[in-house]
Amino acid sequence: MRLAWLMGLPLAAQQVDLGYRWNANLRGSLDTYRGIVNLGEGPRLLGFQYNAGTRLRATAGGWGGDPSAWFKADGEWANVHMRLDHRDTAYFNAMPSYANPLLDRGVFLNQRAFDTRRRFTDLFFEFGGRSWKPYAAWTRDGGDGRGVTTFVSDGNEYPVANTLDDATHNVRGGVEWNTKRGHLTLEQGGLFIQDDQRVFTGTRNEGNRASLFLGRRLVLNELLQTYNVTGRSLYSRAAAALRPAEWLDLSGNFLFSQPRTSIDYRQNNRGLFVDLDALVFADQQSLRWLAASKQPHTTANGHMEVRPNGKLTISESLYTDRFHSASSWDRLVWNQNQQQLDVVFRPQASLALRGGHRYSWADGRTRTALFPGGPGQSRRHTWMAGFNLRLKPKWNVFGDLESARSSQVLFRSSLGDFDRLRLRARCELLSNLSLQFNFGVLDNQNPPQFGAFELKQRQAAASIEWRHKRGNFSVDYARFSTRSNLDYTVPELLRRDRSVFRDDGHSVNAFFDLVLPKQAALTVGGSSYRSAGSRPSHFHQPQGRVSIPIHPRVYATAEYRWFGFSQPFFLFETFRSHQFMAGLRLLR
Amino acid sequence: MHASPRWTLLLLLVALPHPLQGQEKKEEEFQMPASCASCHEEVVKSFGGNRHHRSRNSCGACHTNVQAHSESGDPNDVKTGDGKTCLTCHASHPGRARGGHERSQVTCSDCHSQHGKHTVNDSCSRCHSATVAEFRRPYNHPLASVKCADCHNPHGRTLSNSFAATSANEPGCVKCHAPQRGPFTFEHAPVKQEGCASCHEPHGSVNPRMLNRAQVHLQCLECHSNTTAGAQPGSALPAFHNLRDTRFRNCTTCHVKVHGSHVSRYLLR
Repeated sequence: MRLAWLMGLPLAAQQVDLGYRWNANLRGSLDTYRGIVNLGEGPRLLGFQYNAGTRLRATAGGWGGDPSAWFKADGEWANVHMRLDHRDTAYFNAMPSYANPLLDRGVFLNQRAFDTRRRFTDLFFEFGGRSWKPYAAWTRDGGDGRGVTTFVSDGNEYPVANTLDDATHNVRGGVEWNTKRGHLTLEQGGLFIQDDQRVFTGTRNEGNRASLFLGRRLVLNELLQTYNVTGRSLYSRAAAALRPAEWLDLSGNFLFSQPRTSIDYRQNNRGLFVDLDALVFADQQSLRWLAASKQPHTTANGHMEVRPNGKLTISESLYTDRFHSASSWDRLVWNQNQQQLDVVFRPQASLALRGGHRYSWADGRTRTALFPGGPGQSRRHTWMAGFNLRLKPKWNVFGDLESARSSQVLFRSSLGDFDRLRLRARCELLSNLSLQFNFGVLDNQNPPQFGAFELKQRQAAASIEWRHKRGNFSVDYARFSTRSNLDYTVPELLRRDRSVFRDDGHSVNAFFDLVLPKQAALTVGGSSYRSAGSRPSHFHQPQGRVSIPIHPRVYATAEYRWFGFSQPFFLFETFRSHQFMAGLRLLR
Repeated sequence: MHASPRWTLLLLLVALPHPLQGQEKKEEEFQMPASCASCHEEVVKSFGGNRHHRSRNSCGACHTNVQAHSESGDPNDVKTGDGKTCLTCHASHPGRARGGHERSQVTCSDCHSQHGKHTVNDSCSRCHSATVAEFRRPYNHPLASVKCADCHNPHGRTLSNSFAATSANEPGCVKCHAPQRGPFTFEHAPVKQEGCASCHEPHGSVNPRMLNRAQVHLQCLECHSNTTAGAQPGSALPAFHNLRDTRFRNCTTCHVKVHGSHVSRYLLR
């Protein structure tokens, strides 16, 4: 506060939203509710705005326990530009139907559950003027919490508690150089990684195996398992753009990094275990594992754009991404390349036609024999065509078509031979009425030698937005459709079966904002999602808000929200929740 | 669900009116030519909160033919700068040429407000409404704290599929999902080669953990199948994986380090 006063900044926020939320009548699965909504009871700082022009601006929201909280600020002082971004996100996931091998025995325990918080902070400083801009930044991403995981031994696996604690610091600095003919950025940075996990139990645990193993019960009595991962990565980046002539642009990027990690793994467990390789029983196991890995990684691209006249643009770009992940035990090599030619022709100022060709090829290799097919490769040709029509007043229509054919694909579920169409239109019918349409289709049909992967996805969306001095109205509707077929072999029977996935979803989102007399305001609306298919889902979120002035600078606010979720195949995950919130909005 | 009283208290202290409030200093007014300000008062007001008002403190820096426009009053006379005008200063997007926005002739002003207080309109949904609707599926990335630009680079790309490359030459996903970064002693190849989207729907899904398939074992078996052995990588499961037993239909219960392991070749620990 003293610093702000010394700099002559206003000392009060422009807007503060405070509230208290009651979570009434929550019925159904609390774990599912927390995994999807996770809004709790209690006082909250819902919103905060501070604005002193370009010198300092700050916003915040969600503080007090909401799953998504943030604080952002940016400002300028004496040719120093600062940005601060801090986020605090709760990550809770304990869906009873997921990772639950005991579901058929009526046990609703997720064995891969998390209750963690992730905190992300990014601080950026930029110095100097228009030509030279040195900059420096520090980013920290960290998470901590607890969860449930499984300790896996031969013949049985045991759900146990674990704790998680990781943090990554990213420190970087560089300089930007801008001229009228070009641009150059040079950057050097470093990542510093730490990841600690601890798994422990001191109580008898019979695990997921229901039957005896060779007449004996496999059991875990004590366990201490610790992971300590440390690592670092020094990286360099260069980006350049040059316009040697008015008809020619050249640009390129180069990135190189070499992350390294080392691990110290310790495991001590007591009980009764079996070693399937030697087929012997043991009542105690100890393991310590030290390993190190590195991954030199180079990414580069280059681009040339030629404009022989005002109507024609020809561009050519090359891209490569290559790394190998190497440890004393394993090795993964990856080289991916892409070459693309684009031609844009503008017969009129309002119309652009474009076409192009993209060739991408990649090679992946491993040292181990886990991939029976040997090196994985992909080779794909893609032809592209499209148009963009901009008509006055504010009609904008966009179309894009891609057709790809592959001679090799990397994985059975990779896209190989596909056609993709996208159409998009935006229209400002009136100065206060706008419409938007979206349509997209992806049709992939891989030939049998690639696994005959079939994937059809469709998206269609339409929205209307109407603005009026007495209120706004917006509604959008979207429909999604996914159909996927891919054969696989049932391992114990060596019989062919088919993996089928279907999803037909409808999403509606509508809001009315009404300006009431005496500066009161009312908002009603919400969103609804309903789908059928392999995992039918219903998720509805109606809500209403009202704000009433009780003083020229103080508004009373109230909000009601309802969350309803169900998946008919998993009725034990259904939940419903009524939420009320009352609060104050303070204006300066 | 857990309260954070320290942060709440700190922000409340900052937010409350202060007794020294009367000593505040007024924001320096932007000096706009009088002939422009007389008609474009709203623009002048909002321009004061924009970084451009310091670096480009003249309308003619971006607009041309201003003199003719001020004499005729005809809005068609003044030439508004297009994307090329912006790039004379903002040349620092060399990857832009490879992005879809450039190919679709999306101009700077389609997303950015040159005069307003907020430089970025957060206007992705104006065109990508179907994508925004995907976030209304039950399992999603929370849009309250995750922004489109956290994962996508609207100005271009250095990696394929428009994912924003973080400075450390990594896919944008690991910016938040750090434990999945690696490098691991034993990598799960698709994670590094085809990215997270080979198993996850990054915007939203009807399946837990935002998976592409409703059942975990089908997600895995689509690659780990020997129906076309020799054509693509992906090991076949051994016969003791009895899929009639729910223990084996929940692959990630045993293969807990499915994104890569430092210890186990089979990603078991």
